[in-house]
Amino acid sequence: MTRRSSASAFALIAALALGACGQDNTGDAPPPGGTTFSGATFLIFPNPQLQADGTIQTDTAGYAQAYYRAIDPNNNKDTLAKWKMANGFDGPMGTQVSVVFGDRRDLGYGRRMVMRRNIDCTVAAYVENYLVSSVVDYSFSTLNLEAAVQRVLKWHVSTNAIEYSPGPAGVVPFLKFYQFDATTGNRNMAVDLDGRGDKAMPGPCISCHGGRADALTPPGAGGLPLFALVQNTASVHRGDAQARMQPFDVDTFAFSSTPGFTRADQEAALKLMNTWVLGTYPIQAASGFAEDACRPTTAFFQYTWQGTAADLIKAAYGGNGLPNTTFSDTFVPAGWAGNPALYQNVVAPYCRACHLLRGVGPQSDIDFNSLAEFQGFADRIKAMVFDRGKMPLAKIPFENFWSSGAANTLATFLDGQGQPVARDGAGNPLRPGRPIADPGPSRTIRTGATTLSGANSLFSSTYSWSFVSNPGGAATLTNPNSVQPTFTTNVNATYVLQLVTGNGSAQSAPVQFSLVVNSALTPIPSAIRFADIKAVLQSAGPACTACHAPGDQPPLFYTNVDRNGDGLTNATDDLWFYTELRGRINFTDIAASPILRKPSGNHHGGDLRPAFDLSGGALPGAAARADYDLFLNWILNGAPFQ
Amino acid sequence: MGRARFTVTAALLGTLCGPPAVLAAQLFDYRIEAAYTYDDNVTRSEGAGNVLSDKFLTLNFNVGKSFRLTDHTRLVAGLFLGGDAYDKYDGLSRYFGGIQGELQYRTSGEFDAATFGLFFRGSGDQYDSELRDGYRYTAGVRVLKPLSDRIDLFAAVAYNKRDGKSTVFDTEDYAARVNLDYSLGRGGTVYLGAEYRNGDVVSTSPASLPLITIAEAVVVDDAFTDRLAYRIKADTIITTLGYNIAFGAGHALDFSWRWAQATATDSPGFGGVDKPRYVVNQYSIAYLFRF
Repeated sequence: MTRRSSASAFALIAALALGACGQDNTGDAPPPGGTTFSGATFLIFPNPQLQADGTIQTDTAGYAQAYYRAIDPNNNKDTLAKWKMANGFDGPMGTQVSVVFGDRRDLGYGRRMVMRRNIDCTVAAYVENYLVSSVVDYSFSTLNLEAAVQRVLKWHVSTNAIEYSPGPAGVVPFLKFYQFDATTGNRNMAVDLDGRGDKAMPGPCISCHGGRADALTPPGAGGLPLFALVQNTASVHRGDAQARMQPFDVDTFAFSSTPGFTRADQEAALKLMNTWVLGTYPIQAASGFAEDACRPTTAFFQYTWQGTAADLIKAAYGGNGLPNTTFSDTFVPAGWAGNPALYQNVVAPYCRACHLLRGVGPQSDIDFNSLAEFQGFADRIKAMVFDRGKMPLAKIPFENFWSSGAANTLATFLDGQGQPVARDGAGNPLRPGRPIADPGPSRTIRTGATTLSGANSLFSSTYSWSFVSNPGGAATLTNPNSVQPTFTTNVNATYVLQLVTGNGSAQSAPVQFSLVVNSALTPIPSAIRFADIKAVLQSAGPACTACHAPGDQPPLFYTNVDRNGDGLTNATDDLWFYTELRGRINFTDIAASPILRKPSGNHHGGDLRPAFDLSGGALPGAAARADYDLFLNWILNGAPFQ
Repeated sequence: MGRARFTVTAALLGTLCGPPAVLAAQLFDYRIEAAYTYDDNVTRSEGAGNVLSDKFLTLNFNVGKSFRLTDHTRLVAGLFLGGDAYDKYDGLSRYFGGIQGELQYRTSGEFDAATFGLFFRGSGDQYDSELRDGYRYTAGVRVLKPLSDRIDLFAAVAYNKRDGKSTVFDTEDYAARVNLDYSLGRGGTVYLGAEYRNGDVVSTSPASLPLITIAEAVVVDDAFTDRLAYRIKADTIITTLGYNIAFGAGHALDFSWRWAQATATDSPGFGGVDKPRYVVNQYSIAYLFRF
């Protein structure tokens, strides 16, 4: 009896004397403490399409329903059995292999995968996920792997399926995602991949398969919302969210020692599977190498994903021709020669799996295939990793990131990029979960009353607004300790305010912002409508529509085109245009909205729109950023249509 | 299972073998036990590397009093308090204390008359392993009958329930047992017992797919390193062989060997894996003092 004092005996006697007869199972509860970060938003897109009613559109049943209506309108694949039949499983018109491995890096499951490529180069794979979940919080364990090897039904939690094939209304193959109930085989509309609750399909899948999270299109002829149509896809088919197959990063897998399931026993099958994955990646021009035989070419290659992950697969097997039988990941892209350690210790294990599948030709920097591209995202990396806790995007890599030296390595890199990371007294980077104040961007406003909002602050329950500068004391703040105080003034000036948020005893760092008051500001922020925004998008100088129009291949058209295919260009098309554009607004992190960042020169192929120039510290209201301010005020007002 | 060791030989003899003719009211009865036990499988596990052994000391203080109700019935009530101290695995060390009572009925004052009892026992445990903290309850009926001037037969059926801080240690089982005491006169008493239990057992083992597949509950065991505690349904057989010798006024030494085997009632159902099973041996030396 060494650890607990003899006071325990007294407590025991007291408990007995009091007649205690019940015992709560508090021993099963997780330890107290920790942060307010729950990880509930893992596998949800950074821009989840927050709606005016507070719902996240990409995580609604309607989103999943629209997806399946797009890729399987007649429910020909609404069960695993039907899906397998539709993809030719166990049939003669292709080749089929199976492997069992532990996905210890990403999702934690023991996975029993069956994959086939048909003679028409279509590819399909389904994987039974095994998760022995009754001990501790969701994580990888060798039990998951052994459950997959033994195929223990009790631990078979779901079956995922991926299909690379033409859509029901097209001929160009693209990737589709399904998930089936482990017991019934029925298709699921939502999945819980990480013990953090159900999330609507296909978000949890495509968020790390290079996919986009565009807003649904308003109801079409069928009376139901449509899954977004992304113009810069080879298929140009609703349901093609630009997702791609992941390479099998064999070095990160766990393997059983059971004969038949060792890595050596399965290496050949894994190589075949990687070859098939490679065969789905676009290539600029036909290649003479056998492994490239199925790779699609397209006249629009320059606008689409560049197939960057092909380099990884080829390098892992010794280059063109794939001469090596064993996968070996020593790949460091040429663009990372300046800092290979950062790539190998941070990017490859924690970023690459998802980012390598992202981006399109004109703006592929989000694939992080070079140090320069990574540096270009330094501000967003800091926000996503260290403040918001959105990335790494899934629980296991997130936890591994924070339990390794990678967090400090990345923080040190960001410090050097002018994006200092908050640290504790010992110098360690702080994990997300601490309050982060977000009063919104600096802006220009009219005189009178303006409602401010700190609702996008993170992990916060208290709000404290104050003036940093209030020239002449001409402005007032009403309800300064609320999430939405009111700023009022009748005097033109630049006012600097700050917001500090809190959660319990924790306080955020103060965040300052400017309100440039201009009594002559037009249009009045509250009066800005979609028509004003569209006018800017379609204005000359040069026009956005120089690229965002049919004939080129941008993701969205900004021209007046027949979007609903009824032969007319009318108000309905305008509503669809508005909805597509509204999807480029991130209402959870307004400054990160693509519609603000891209024209202001970020990740836009170098294109800086006139009147979107934030360089040089131009204050709101400056002519150089007039359109930025217009867009911003429209967004701050909820981005109304009419 | 360690704390039931003297129930038959000492506790029952102490409370029921008073004046043979009547169930007379007694003064307070005090007993102190000190025991040293070697347990060859404290993890209640199987397989090399999974089974761990340890030694522990036990000190137990009992006070009891009987109350005559009628010519044939009496109530026996008592309190007990004690502790186990393990050598290597501190988490298994504990304090315990509780109450016990029994309503006894004896058919007559004849020598070979049977005594029937309806008993209850409630206790609390305070372990070094927090998960194990909690309460235990036992209720049942039993009978003690002298078969001859040397042989006593004891039999009981009982319901046992444990309410732990972790759900893994929320267990219950039903038990049936018999015990024979053979008196060697001044040479002491030899006793032999057998018990069958159907219900929950807790086994501690490194992560095991067969065990976790059949387990009703699992928790990371805080009494060991890198092991899980599994609550599983099992059939358990316990046998006891002991020798008790008295000396001086109220002193006795007791030597015993307990063997137990628990076999899971469910099969993992894959890969030809058999039902998990573990075997435990406990060897004890105890000193008893009654006054």
